[in-house]
Amino acid sequence: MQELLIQDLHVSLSGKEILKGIHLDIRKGEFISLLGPSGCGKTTLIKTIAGLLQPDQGEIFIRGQNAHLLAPEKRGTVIVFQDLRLFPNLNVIENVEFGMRMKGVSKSLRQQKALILLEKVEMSGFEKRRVNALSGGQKQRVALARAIAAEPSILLLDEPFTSLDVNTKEKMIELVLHLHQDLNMTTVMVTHDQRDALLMSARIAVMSDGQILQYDTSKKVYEAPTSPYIADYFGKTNYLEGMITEGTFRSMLGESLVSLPDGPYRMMIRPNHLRILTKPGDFQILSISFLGDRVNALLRYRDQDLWVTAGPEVELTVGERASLEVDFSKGVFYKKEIKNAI
Amino acid sequence: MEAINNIELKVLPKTILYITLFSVLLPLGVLLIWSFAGSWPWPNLLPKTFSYRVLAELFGGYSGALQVLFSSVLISMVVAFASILISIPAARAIAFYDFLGKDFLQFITLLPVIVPVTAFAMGTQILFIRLNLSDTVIGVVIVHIILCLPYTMKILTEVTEATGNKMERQARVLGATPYQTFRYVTLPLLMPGIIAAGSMAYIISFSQYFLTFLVGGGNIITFSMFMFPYIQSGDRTIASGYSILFIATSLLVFILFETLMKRYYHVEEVYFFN
Repeated sequence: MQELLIQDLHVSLSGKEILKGIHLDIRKGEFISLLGPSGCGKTTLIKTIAGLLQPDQGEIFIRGQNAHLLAPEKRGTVIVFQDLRLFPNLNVIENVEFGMRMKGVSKSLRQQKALILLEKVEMSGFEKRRVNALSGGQKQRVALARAIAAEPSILLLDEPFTSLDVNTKEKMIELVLHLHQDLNMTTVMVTHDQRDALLMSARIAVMSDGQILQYDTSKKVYEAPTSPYIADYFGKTNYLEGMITEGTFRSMLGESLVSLPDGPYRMMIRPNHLRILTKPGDFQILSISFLGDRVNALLRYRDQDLWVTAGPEVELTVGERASLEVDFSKGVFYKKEIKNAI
Repeated sequence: MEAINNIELKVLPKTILYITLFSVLLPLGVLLIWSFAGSWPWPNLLPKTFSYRVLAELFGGYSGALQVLFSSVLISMVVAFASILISIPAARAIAFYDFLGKDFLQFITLLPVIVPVTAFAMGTQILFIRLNLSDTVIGVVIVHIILCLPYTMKILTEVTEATGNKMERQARVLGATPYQTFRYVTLPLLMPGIIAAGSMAYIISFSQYFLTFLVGGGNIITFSMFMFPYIQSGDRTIASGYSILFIATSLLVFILFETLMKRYYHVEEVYFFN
């Protein structure tokens, strides 16, 4: 059964429509990401799921139950906000116990559970600390433990790693994934970082301007984005103009067989699906950026610029010529709109 | 050059601190000496003889000073409590909601401070006579509350705005009902403001002379009214004794208020006293 089902959700904030018809479904125990630039409505969406905002239109079903009239505390949806919001008047363990205390769990039981959770987030020994005396990463761990201690049916993470330095962030990602596997908690993560989304989630919902553009497995969203906008969101990519006639795509870089109707198309191909060959050819090397484990190069052929990713072992020199192999099987085709010029 | 600057930077705040301390403590010391002065002729620096008649006057029982003090403290506590009770929801409304006439409401809550007390008192007196509230304790309490609201409202609105409702939203999604959220999150977070506003309201009410006299019509005697004849008549020893008692009581109430609140709500930030 679906843990969460959202149908045609519209939400406005101070008269401005933020969410414009959201459809979303999440299975029990699934980890999904809402991916998009800031201002696309992803935080508004999780606040609406948690009941902090009221929709203008549309339905939210949590475990099959219509959540419309459910107060936030009855939904079992816990948000870990980007600014963490630890209660400054409570110490670490009191913060973790908060949800259980509100539900009337006995002191000994909630203390026992809080201690286990603090151990899971590697914060044992910090029980009596004031939360304002903790570092950013430690606060994050406490916020996470507090959310999990409330035993949510859906855990909502709002940009959980943005304020952390790289090393802390990697540890936190590991921790969140580990906890997710361990507890099998349905999780929705809001992020603007495509790498975090790809790394962590089973499915990604790519959002833009209050709508979900594509909702599919991480692999599908990366390899077969349904629009150039989504393709661009996952980093630099190449577009080749061409025509399909009778099942053959013809472009300046070559031909390939496809099963698409005739017409003008753009083919999207990622830099790692182009292979650079050091033997001299038609392509001029315009720039090279060395990134340690790989090299990004910009090549030009006539007026077509192409980004290529190569292994660090490939020796390239700016200004020299090279040749290129295109793996047409990895290409994604977008039909070009024909504008009638009248 | 830099070293000199550093020394100057350290010296200046300390000088100000000591001047302030001196100007607060010196009058207090003089009051204390005066309370026990028998005869203090010019130009002696200290009294010639000492007397303990102030203790008999204050605590002897015949003057009724302690009863008045007790009822006066009670009235001021009720005023402080009620002012806070009114100001918390009003401050929330101003901080978090937009409604018609919000600016106007904020303005009229400030009116009791802007309008001269005599003008304010006359109007209130006429209204209270019509409402049968003059010469009653309730009337006195109400007029004190009106006078305290500008201060408590201002303090609590500022604190509420600074606190925001982020923590409350976090509490709600963690499973707290609106009442639990208020009890376990909002109140403790507002506590510094509540303590400040409460102390302010208490001291405004406790030192109120003119309004109490007018609205109470002489039936309601508060401690500041009780002190007044002694100050006017020139019996400095008794007047000083009452002043010391006045200050000591207020201080005691502040400490009590703050300690109780902090113990109850587990607030650790120190506001007035440690």
